[in-house]
Amino acid sequence: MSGSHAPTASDAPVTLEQPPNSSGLRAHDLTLGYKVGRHREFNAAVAGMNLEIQRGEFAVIVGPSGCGKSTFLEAVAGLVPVTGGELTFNGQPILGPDKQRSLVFQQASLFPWRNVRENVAYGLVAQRRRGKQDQERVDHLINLVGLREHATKMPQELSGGMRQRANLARALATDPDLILLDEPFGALDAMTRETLQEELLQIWQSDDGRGEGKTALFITHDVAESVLLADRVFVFSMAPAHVAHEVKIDVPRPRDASWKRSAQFTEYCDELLEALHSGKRAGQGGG
Amino acid sequence: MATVLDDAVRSVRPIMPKRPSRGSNFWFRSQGGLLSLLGILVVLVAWQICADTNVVNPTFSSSPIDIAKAEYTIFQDGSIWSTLGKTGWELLIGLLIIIVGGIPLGLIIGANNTLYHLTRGMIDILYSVPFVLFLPIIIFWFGIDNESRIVLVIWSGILPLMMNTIAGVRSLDRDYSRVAKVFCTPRTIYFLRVAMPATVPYILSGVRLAIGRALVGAIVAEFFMGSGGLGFFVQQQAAQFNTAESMAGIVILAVVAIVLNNIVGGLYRRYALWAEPQ
Repeated sequence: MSGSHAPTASDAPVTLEQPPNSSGLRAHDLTLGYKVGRHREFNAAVAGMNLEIQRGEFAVIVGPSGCGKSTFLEAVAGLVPVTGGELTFNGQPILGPDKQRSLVFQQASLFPWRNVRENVAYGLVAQRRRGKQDQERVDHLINLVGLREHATKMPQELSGGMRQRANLARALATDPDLILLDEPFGALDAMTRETLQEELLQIWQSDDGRGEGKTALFITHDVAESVLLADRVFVFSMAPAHVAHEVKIDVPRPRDASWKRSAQFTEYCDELLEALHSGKRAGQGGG
Repeated sequence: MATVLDDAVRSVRPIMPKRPSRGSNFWFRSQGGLLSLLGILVVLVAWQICADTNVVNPTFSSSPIDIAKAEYTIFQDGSIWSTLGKTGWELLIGLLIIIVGGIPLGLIIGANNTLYHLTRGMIDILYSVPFVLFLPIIIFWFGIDNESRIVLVIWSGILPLMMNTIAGVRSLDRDYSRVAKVFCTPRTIYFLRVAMPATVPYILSGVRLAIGRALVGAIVAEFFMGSGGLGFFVQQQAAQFNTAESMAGIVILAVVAIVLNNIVGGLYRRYALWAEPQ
């Protein structure tokens, strides 16, 4: 595998052997990348990617760092243009940011001049949604992520974990169909990370998450995190990324942290680690 | 500007409209201010003692009590009012034009890369060359009346404000625009809720600098043109050995400078406190 994948839209006509899944996220022969350097050479971050996430699923992408998983997430968010192939959500091609999709940033990226509540409400303000139920939703989410006591504090006064809680609440506040999470707990200490994983699990399992048919796409390099949270885990290869392995975590919800000590959990982790390492080897061999 | 931001803040904060104040203890909050007053007081007392004991010659040095008396006299006989009116008018008009013109200009130049590079050299030159040097030419163009002095006030004050505003717009955090994009922020809301508040600390620092330089501009213009105003008053009184009256003029200017500075400081605490390192 080399990085010289043609940047043009797939020249072979795409035969739709199956009707495109009208609900959920679908990538077909997807190519993403940047033009870099003086000669504007095309550098593929994602090449020939095929992936399908059902509506209502919590999908997690694991991959080595620098493999292009963040680029993929940004493309789904509409921040990075699609260079080749197809990327659709609920049957519609993704051409840019959309109100149906929201992103939990890796760095909390809160606005320092807005307090916690104003930050959580930002998406609604931007979309000119001032309804009573929108305001109630903001209050409800602030309670849900445990920031009730801190609603009038400024971001600078919060700890890293609390900022990420506000970041999560902000993404949920616009009531999106698809919520994208870009290694949201990556920069936190181990204790805080575990707490937040459990809280995310609870939020997702509560009516506010799943009951409304939300789909989630979560990126991490932490295998245990992926098993704990996911309905389905995709292992990405080295750059340019494609799906090297796919595992369905067939474990009923609600799950909790105690499940992490079970043999079943360890088995899933082993399977994913194995796939991750063979993907790395293959990537190094071909690169 | 303030009202727009005010509305923005209020509209999304219905639960607890009051922000918690830092340090509610009165003494703790005003400690800095009281200490700086104490510092001034120490200097004044030392000055008075030196003058009274003839360590310095009071004819040349005057003394705080004499200055206070002179202050009373010049306000009593009303001679100072026309002088103050003249300087105050120049400053008011000058600063208004600086703020109303400088901030939008800075925003536009900062937001446009081509415009930024086109104007950068010129702004650098105008800022680096002491503006006093342009005074003869300004007099040549505008005469020695009010217009000329207002032009000098604007000339001296507008550049630091523009430079700060430009720097603020250009250093806008990339994360902010990413968040704005993801939530599909329209241009007007982006400008009012993201770009403006993010630039406010730079703008207010610029306004503070502009006020300082505008005061210098106004006084220098009066020194040179000799057609009234506080600068002319101070110069004239000193030339007649009326040290106390001369210094009384300086005191008035000091009070004006401190008041203006505190107004900007208050705005900064209200709208830009977040930019202070914690």
